[in-house]
Amino acid sequence: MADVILSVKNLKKYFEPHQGFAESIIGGGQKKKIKAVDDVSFDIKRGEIFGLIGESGSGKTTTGKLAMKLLEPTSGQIIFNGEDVTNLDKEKLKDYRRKVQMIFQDPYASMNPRFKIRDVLEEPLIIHKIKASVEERNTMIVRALEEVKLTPPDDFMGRWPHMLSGGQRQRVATARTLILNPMMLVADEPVSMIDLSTRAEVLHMMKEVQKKLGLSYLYITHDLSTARYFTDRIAVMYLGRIVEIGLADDIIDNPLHPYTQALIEAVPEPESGKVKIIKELPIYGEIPSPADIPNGCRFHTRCPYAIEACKTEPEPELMLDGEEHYHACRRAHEVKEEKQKKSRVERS
Amino acid sequence: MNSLLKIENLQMYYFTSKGAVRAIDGINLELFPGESIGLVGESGCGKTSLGTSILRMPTPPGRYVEGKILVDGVDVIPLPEKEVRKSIRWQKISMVFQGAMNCLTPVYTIGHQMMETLVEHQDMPRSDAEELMREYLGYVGLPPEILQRYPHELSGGMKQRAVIATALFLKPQIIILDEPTTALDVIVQAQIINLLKKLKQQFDLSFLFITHDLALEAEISDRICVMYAGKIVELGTNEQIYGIQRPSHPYTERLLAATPRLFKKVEQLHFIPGTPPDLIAPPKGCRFSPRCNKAFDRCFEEEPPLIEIEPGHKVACWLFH
Repeated sequence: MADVILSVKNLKKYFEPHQGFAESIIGGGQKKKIKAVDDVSFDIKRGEIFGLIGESGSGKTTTGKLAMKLLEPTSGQIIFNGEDVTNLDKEKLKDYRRKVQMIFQDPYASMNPRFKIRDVLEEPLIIHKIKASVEERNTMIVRALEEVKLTPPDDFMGRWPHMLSGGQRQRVATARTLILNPMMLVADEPVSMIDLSTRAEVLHMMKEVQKKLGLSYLYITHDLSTARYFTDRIAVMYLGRIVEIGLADDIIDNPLHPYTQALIEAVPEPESGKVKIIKELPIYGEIPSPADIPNGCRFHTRCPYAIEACKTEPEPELMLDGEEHYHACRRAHEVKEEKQKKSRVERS
Repeated sequence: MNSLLKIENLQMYYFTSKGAVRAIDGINLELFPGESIGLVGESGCGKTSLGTSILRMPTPPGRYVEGKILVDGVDVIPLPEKEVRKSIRWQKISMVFQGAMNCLTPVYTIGHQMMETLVEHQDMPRSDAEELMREYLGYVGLPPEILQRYPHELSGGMKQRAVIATALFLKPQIIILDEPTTALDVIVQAQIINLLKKLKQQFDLSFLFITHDLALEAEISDRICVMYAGKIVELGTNEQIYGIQRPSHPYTERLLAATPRLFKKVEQLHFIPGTPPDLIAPPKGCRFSPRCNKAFDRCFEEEPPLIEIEPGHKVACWLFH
């Protein structure tokens, strides 16, 4: 499969809970493992922007860290560019990290405040021992800055991070990844800390860079509205597992899993006439702890459409339902009918 | 109708070593009983400064320069601190701070911290206080066991509910909510917004809801006040801002265009180029003019006043003169 750049197969990451010294001797109260990522599989195609959506505690960030090889998986396989990268030695790991780069959430914490922008951008070249003269390096830095539209580059090279706005910092962060000619970027909530007025600007720039250089992105976010604009495909995660996956437009216009539906209904829209209305969401309570994942379908405790089978039967696997659209809900079609009936009653 | 809160020509500057930062520069605003006003704008527009100024606690080196803040007809600016504490703060106006869930101390139980508020602002026997706390936890949908828990044992949504309960305690009429849902997930955010709407009806509260998210503001605020660089640029009803007529000030227009819409597929999101001005030396004329795509000569020379263009709808822009 030449058109797949990153393939993740049955990936699991269980964290061992902290156990005190006394507890380990007495062996009292075996604590439960925290199942942050619990059997996740997906493929990212070459030149694709793949969105991983979920609430906090859904395991989306852990999945991103596993893909970045910042964490070792408990089990499962990661295949990058046709090569198994699940277990890599130090040399190969360094090479992998050059090809797969990361943009972090907090642009204020991800840059050394004592480095000028030029130094920030030169650092990856030093770490990865890129053999180049000072002039060659400068050309690379200038090119990277031009790529992210921080022009004139000479003007920005001498500045300190504190002189830049959040949006400009995320541009520098992007330039820092581009300088090593990566094949893929992992971006974990890259715009959540930036002002709304400039959020679009950064996403737009990232998309242009992606198109121009033919990169692939893994975009991790909780924000469905930017995901629709930014991504080609979306995977919705809940408690460590993907519950729905499909084309971005399809997921938002035609969500099949009740969790995705609740997520979509929760997004506020800038329209008038909603102040007096209290719209109850089709979901109960808050996300359970990943140390205590419910039996059966893991969403059944919060699902208003759950029936006995959802509690007792084994969890449904992702099933194909429409073009490139998979979901893990055994009642998807019944729920859809129920909803349509309800809205018909409301209208009449 | 008499207003609960009336702000008259308020100026509050931060006196830094580089000069006075004109964070609030001549604001006039009235809040009526049972009404929610939304304060929106980019970071640095002065919306949070306005919130803390109303509570008579501008962050140092902030100082009042001019104007009045009338709470039930009484100007709170010249009042002694003791008086503010006894009769204004938390009694008439309370505030849910930005990142409120992180302002709980990790070393004390929720009950202890809620009790502190009561003891600080009102003499009340402990047993009565305890009963009151249980009652208010009920209103925000939390079980009374929470009182014995520590903040780290609760989720973000639960902490935010506890903070809201604390803000309600002393029966204030006005609650200032500064980005109360920014750190929360969408589902929890929607749940908290629903809770706030219910509480508003139940206790006939007035809100000052501060956020940068215009979409969220549409859910909760009766009137919207758009701020830019320490000034109000537009003030209108929910319908006037979000309705079919669409906003009038170019800044509001562009802010709305920059707000991502879930159900509208767009090829390209809009954004506002540039950054808000330096408030030590704000630009001459309209403060938005350097970033405005509709600006003409007059905009760079003269500052536009806030004028009424239709009943209840005020705009500060030369396009409407």
